[in-house]
This record gives sequence, structure tokens and C-alpha cells, in this order.
Amino acid sequence: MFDFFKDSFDYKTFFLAVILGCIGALAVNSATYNSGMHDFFVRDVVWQVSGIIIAFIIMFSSNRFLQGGAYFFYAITILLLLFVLVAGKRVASHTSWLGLLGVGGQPSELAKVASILALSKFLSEKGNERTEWQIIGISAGIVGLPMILTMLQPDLGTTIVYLAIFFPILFWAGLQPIVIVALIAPIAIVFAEFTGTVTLLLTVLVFGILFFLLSRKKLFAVTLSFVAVSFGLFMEYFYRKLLQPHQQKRIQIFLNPNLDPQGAGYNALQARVAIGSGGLFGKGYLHGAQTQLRFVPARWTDFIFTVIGEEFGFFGAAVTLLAFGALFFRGVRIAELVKTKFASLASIGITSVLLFHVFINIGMNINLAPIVGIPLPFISYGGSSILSDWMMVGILLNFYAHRKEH
Amino acid sequence: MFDVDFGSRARSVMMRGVVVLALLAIMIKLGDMQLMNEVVYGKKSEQITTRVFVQQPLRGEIFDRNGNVMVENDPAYEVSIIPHEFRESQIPALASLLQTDSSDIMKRIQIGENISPYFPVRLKRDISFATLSSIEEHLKEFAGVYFDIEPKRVYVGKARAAHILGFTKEISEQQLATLGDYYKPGDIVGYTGLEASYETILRGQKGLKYLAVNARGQVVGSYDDGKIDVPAQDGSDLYLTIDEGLQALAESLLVGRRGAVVALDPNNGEVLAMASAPDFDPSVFSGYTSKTEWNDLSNNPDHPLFNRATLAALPPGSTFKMVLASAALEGGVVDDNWTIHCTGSFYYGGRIFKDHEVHGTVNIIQAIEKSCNVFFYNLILKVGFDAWTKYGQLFGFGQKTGIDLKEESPGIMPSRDYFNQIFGKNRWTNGYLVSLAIGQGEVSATPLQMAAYTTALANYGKYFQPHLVRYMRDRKTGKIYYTQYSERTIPVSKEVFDQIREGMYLVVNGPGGTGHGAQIPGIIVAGKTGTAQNPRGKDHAWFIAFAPFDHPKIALAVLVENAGFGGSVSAPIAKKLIEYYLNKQGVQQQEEPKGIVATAALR
Repeated sequence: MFDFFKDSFDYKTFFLAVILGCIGALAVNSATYNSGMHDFFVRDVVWQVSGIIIAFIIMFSSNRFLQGGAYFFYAITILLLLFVLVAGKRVASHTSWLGLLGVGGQPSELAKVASILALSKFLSEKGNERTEWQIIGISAGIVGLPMILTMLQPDLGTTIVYLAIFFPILFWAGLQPIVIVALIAPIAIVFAEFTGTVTLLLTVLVFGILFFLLSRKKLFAVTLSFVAVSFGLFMEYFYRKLLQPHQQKRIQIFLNPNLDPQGAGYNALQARVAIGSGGLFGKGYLHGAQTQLRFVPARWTDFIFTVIGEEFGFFGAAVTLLAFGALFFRGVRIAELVKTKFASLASIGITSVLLFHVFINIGMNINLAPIVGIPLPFISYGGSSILSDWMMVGILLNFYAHRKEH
Repeated sequence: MFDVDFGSRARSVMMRGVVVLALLAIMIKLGDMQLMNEVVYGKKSEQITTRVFVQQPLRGEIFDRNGNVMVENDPAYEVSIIPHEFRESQIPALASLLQTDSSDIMKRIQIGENISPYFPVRLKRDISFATLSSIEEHLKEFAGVYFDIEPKRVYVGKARAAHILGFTKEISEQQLATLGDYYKPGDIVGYTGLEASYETILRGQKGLKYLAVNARGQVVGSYDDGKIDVPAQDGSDLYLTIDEGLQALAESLLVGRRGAVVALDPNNGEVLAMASAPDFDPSVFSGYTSKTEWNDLSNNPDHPLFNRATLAALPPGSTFKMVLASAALEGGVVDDNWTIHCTGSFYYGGRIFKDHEVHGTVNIIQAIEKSCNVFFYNLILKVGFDAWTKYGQLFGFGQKTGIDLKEESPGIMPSRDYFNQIFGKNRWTNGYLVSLAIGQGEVSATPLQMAAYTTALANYGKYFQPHLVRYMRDRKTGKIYYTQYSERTIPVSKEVFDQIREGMYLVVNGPGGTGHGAQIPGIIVAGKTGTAQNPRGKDHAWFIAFAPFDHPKIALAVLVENAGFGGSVSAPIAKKLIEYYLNKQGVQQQEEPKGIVATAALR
């Protein structure tokens, strides 16, 4: 046991996660302090501790446990997602559906982790006779299935997270950058489409240039550009002609909540004001006027970064971001250290999923990203997300412990 | 499509690069918000999390010269809303409770919202207790509706003094644009009279109280422990020069007439009384004024809101003759040996100018006594236009007296330039001067100017700036502040004044005098009657007077519109005012005036 902690325990990863968990517990306490929800802090601590225990269990499991069980875990979570959909559909009324959403959130958080493992396992299998097209197709299927099931819930935020599993893992597996760019292009074009024609044209232009820079065969680049432009024009047509104005507006508000000052736009404004007014060192713990006086909505979940930004200022936000940054660097480092391709791919998947969560969550607090409602790892209140975050830490700790084994 | 460089150095550099770029983007944005724009967001945060409640100061009270209260404050209830918290769907219900129309409420909210959605907008002031309690019952349904106690003006003096005091009223949009940042929609502001001219002194300074509110608009306590609260500073009190009893008497003497009275202390220019009739009840404007009440007053054909004492510029008639007399005597053009034989009419430039009777041979003193027009027709042609204009201006005509009211007309003191301007160069003749000699035609003066002119005649040429306020008193410290008023001496010799004053003595006391109606047993009064021709109706009656003759304590001008001859209507009003005031001062003057002895022979 002593030897294990001397050689096989990744202190850096563990303590960075503990620091983030502590910041989270403090922020949850502050966010709920003046709202008569003192038990939130207690429950948050319980979940953080449970998460640490789960991480240790995963860490101490054998080096074959994760790789061997990857498809099994994946299958279980797919079944859970299906069950939530069926159970959710059976209840017609709105309130019951909301009541089930808490349950529904859980499998989708687990499914992210399972999908990382399953995709990593598939890509690390040896002696496979498949063509490159087949590899990409099956990979897309592995990620696409839980993605579609999540979209049906509908949980758009978590749906997008699967993109942060798919592309980085394939990239790490050796997929050429041009293919990544070519695959991202249509998705980016769809998003650009809804922001306006100018943005769309610019996006098409940027991807065209990327194609030419990255491709060795010029004809191939021309073809890709042509496809991208056609796709963009088709989306333009689809959006302008086939969608009703109210449908267009709904999509616009989804992509840019500031257009709806009564709803999400109001929340986004309150969050920005809270963070901006924090200044260099913040207003002091439990003294954030915006958060303590309940102006910021969902301040213990999606908008928890406002508590850090308002009460601890730029300094507190920077400390939090540095802890995240160090954790992500550690994730990439573990991907380099481990001897198995599976562990390496999964480490990258975990790192990129966490990074994506951090970027989108903080981004929507500071108007860098649309408000899609995904939690800030280790910090947002919520059992399922905290537990899955610690699960991923456990997986990284497991990989580190077995880093020298083939 | 796949390269063989799985997990290569290049790819891990790219992975780390993405991490750095993503976090750097967040850091840059945070730096921009928290370090570069902290003030902007901080202000916004303060605005969102606090509500500013204005603490209304008490408006200064107004006292007469003897310390009697004329205007004080009473508490009244007002209703206001905070636009940010208020739901527009509640407007109709609120309007019916407040008995106003929805459009009015909507307009007020919109104006207020433009200033700040977090700042209370006053909807209605001086609501009845019944309205108050019915809204209070429904307060839960009306989010963002607040009550406040706001002082309103009450007029408790014996005299109304409506035109002197003026009134306060809710600020208009136009005033909001011109009066500066201090005022917010719904504020009370002095509209006319002293309320307007001493607005900044009377109003005091509003205070601000900051309260922390939560997202539902509920007040959760004082903000920052009240450290940034600003206490309200009450306005200062005004102590007037007005004698409330004299003022009340003047008002009662004008009841049922249209006209004005101005009484001044000839020793310092203090206004003892200033009445204008018809007048109005200023309490109509305190609290809530209905549209009909306002329309009734502003559309009344007798113009009760119009301060005739300072604004009615009318031809002064014969009361103006002393201007010409001083010009003639001081300029050495004539002396009291120069006589004219009055035949009752005067022929000049192909026109006949009539006198009201045949006066026979008169010198300048008798001409004043008997108000002989023919004498002055002849005299102005001897004196000339320019000299007459000069002396008129020396006596303060054609310019504002500078009284501490905003409502004042300068009147018209015609000059060569003025005639060239209105008639055209060489388009007028000396014939135009003939009317001016007896205060008719283009010349016009306000009762206040006439009173100030009388003051100068009474005290041998001292011209004081008339004023209504003796001093201001800080309510908190009790400190008293005086204002400096100007005074000047008119360059006319004592001898000339003696002769003119003798004429004015004879107007009231001489056998041929036209102002016998102002005689008071035991008190020597001097004066001058005047009748201003009115092309649209009956003539206006003027009378100016001062008393006691040797040491004047009161000088006044009385104007009664459409009353005909000045001596019969206006002189008795002057008499009663002088009598009241001097009795109050304990003046008992029995002796014959010293200055008059010389003229006894002439009579």
C-alpha cells in the first residue's frame, strides 16, 4: 500500500481535482446561503466525498477492468438512456416530465464516460481489417447513438458534448487534420447559418482556406470546398424557405439568448453583471450582491461561475482556471505516459470532455458561448455530474497507476 | 485518412495548444469584464440590487414682516411605482382605484422608465384616505407600488397674497428639460410668485436613501449600512416685507373689481402690500389639481392668475405729469412763475386736445393740483422729447424694477428711437408728444413702477429696488441671510421736489385738488390722480399717494380697471390703506406741513 502511494498514485491529478471540488463546495455554499437552502452545501460535500471514494475504487481496479468492460458499460448506459426516454414519454404532463428530468440527467452523464471508453476501445483494437471509412463510420455510430438518445430527451447541451468526445479521440488516433476540418465544417456551417448570412460566408471562406492549406491534393480541396458551399446554400434555403418565422426565431434564441431579454438573455445579463462587478479581488465571500440577492438564476448549477467571479473577482477566477488548466495538461501528459493505446485515447477523451464543459459553461457566463446548460466540472451542484467527474478522475488515476503495463 | 503518428509529439503540442487557447480566451474576456469594465458592471450591479428612495425635504415656510405664518406644510399621501417591478397589465385596475386614466399612468411610467427603471415614478399625489386604504388592501396584487408621505402647501395667513406667494405644482415636461438634473418627473416645483423666484432656497435639497432589494424587489435592508445615504436638507424660510393686515385690507378693497394695489415703504423699498384682483386660491394647486380646476383658472376672462401689480402695463395718465414737471424744473426750462392760461382745450398740429375743464391761469404747482392738461401740453413742447424720456427713465420707467418676482413687465417709456422704430423715421410728429405729456398714448407703466416712482417723489429722489423678502432663515441652524437690494439717487434737486410735492399736497388738500377722496383727518396725505384712456371700454382709474407728508412711511399706487375717474374710485382705497397702516404704526400727525407755507400766498 505504501509502495503504491510512493510510485503509482498521481498526486497532481488527485489534488487538482480536490482543489476544484473544494472551490465547488464553497461556491455552492455561497450560492445557496441566503436562499434558505443550507442542505445543498451538505449534499455537495457528500457527493464530492462519494466521488473521491468512487475514484479510488476505479483507481485500485485492475488494468484490464476498464478496457475489458468498456462495451458492457456502454451497453448498460444505452439501455438506461432508452429507459429514460420510454419512461419519460409515458408521462404526458409537463410537471411529471420535469420531475423525471433529474433521473434522466444521470444516464446521460454516465453515457459520456462509457462512450469515451467504448470509442477508445474500438480504435485501439488490433488486427482489424476494416477500411478507414468503416472505422470512421463505426466511431460515429458509437458516439452518435447516445448522442441521438440524449437529443431526444431533449438535452441539447449534453448532445453537443459528444462532439468533444468524437473529434479529439479520432484526432489523437491519427486522423488527418483535414478530415477533422472537413467533418467539423458542415456542423460549423449549420451554426453559422443561424447567426446570419455574413457569418455564413465568412465561415465557408475560412474552411475553404483551411482545406487548401491542409490538403496535399488540390482537387480534393476544391471538392471539399464545393461540398461545404453547397451544404451552406442548402441550409440557407432550408432555413429561409422551409422554416416558419417562429421556428427561425426559436433557433436564433437558442444560439443567441441575448435576443430574448425576458428569458435566457436576462439570465445572461445578470451573470455578466455579477462577474464584471467582481473586479480584481471580488466583493468578498458571501458578499456578492448579485448572487446573494438572488438575481442570478441557477447560480448553484449552470451559473455557479458567477459566484466565483463576483465574490473572488478576477483573482479567484484565474486560480480556478489555472487549476483546470493544470488538470488538462496532466490529462494530456497521462495520455503520453501510458503504454496502451486504449488508455491514451481515453485520457484524451476525458481531458477534452472536461475542457469542453469548462469552456462552454464559463463561456455562457461571460457571453462567449450560447446558453446551453452544461455544468462546470467539480463545481456545479448536482450529484450525477459531480460523480461522473470524479469517475473520470478515477479513470485517469487508474491509467497512471498502470502506466508502465502493456 | 489516418496517419501512423498516433499520440505523436506534434499532436500533443496541438492538444495543449487547444487547452491554452480555450482558457486564454476566457481569461481575456474576464480581464476585459472584471479589470477594464469593472466600473460599468459595478454601477449596473448597484442599480440592480439597490433601490433609491428620495427623501423629500420640507419646503421652507413663508412669514409676513411681523412673523405671522402665511404658508406652511401639511402631510399628504402620494402613490408611486418602480417601473422595473411594475406589470403593465395592472394599469387599468390601478387607474380606476386612483380615479385617473390609464393613458396618464402609462405616460408617467414611460417618462420615468427613460430616466431609470429602478427609480420610483410618482403617479398621483395628495390621495384621499379612502383611496389610500383601498390600494393598501390590494397592495399584494400591485407589485412595485409604493406609498409615501409628501408635504403639501397650506395657506394659513389672513391674506391670500396669491400673486406674491405664487403656487407650487408638479413639474412640467418642458421645465424638466430646462431646469436641470435636480428635478425628476412628478417633483413639485414653484411655478409663480415667490415660490418660483425663491425655488432653490425654499425647496431645500432632496435626500437619497439606498435600500438593498432582492430579485423579487423585496427590500431586505439598508444598502451598505446607509453609508452612502444622503440626508434631505429642508428649505429655508422666507420672512417677507409684507404686512399681512395691510395686504388683507388691500385684497378686501379690491374684491369685485379688476385692479391692483402696491404699497411700499419709501425708506427702503420694502413692499408692504401688493394685491391684484381678481385673485385665486393658491391651495387649489397644492396636492392634486384636477384638469377642470386648472382650466377654469387659466381660461377665466378676468385672468385671475395674472399679477396685475407687476404685469399690467397701462398708460399712467395724469399720475405721470410729475415726470415732465421734474424735467422742466430741473432743466431750468420753466420755474413756478411761468404760467399758462387754460381755456379748456389745446390746438396743435391740426388737432384739438381737450382738457376736462377750464383752469384759467395756472403755474406748475397749480397745474399738478388741478391736473391741468393744457399746461402740460404746452410744457412738453418746451421741454422736448429727449428730456422727458430721460427723466422718465430716471424714475424707473421702461425698465423692470428688479423686484424679486419672475413676473414683471418693464412697461414702455417712449423715446425718439422707440418712435422711429415703431412708426418709422420721420413718420411721426411732435403732435405725438402732446398725449405723452399727460401719460396717455404709447407710455405705459405697471402699478409696481408707479409705486416705486411715488416712493422717489416722497423721499426726494431715492429710488429703491422694491422687494418682497426681508431675509431668509435656515431652518436647521436658525442663521439669517439678508439680500442686498440696490438703491440710487435721482439727480433732481430738493427745491424741485419741494415744488412737485407741494403740488401733490394740494391734489389731496388744496381747494382745486382732484384727490380729496384720500384726505385723512390728522394725517397729511399727498398724491396724484390719473385716468388712463381705454380705447376698449371705461377708463382705468389711477391714484398714487404717500404719507405722512414730511416723513413718509408709506407710498402706494392704486389701479382700478374700467373705473372711470381716478380720484373717485382709487383715492378712497388709498386713503383706507394709509389710514390703517399709519394707525398701526402709531403715527399721529397734527401740524401743518412745513414745506407748504410758501404757497399759501399763491392760493
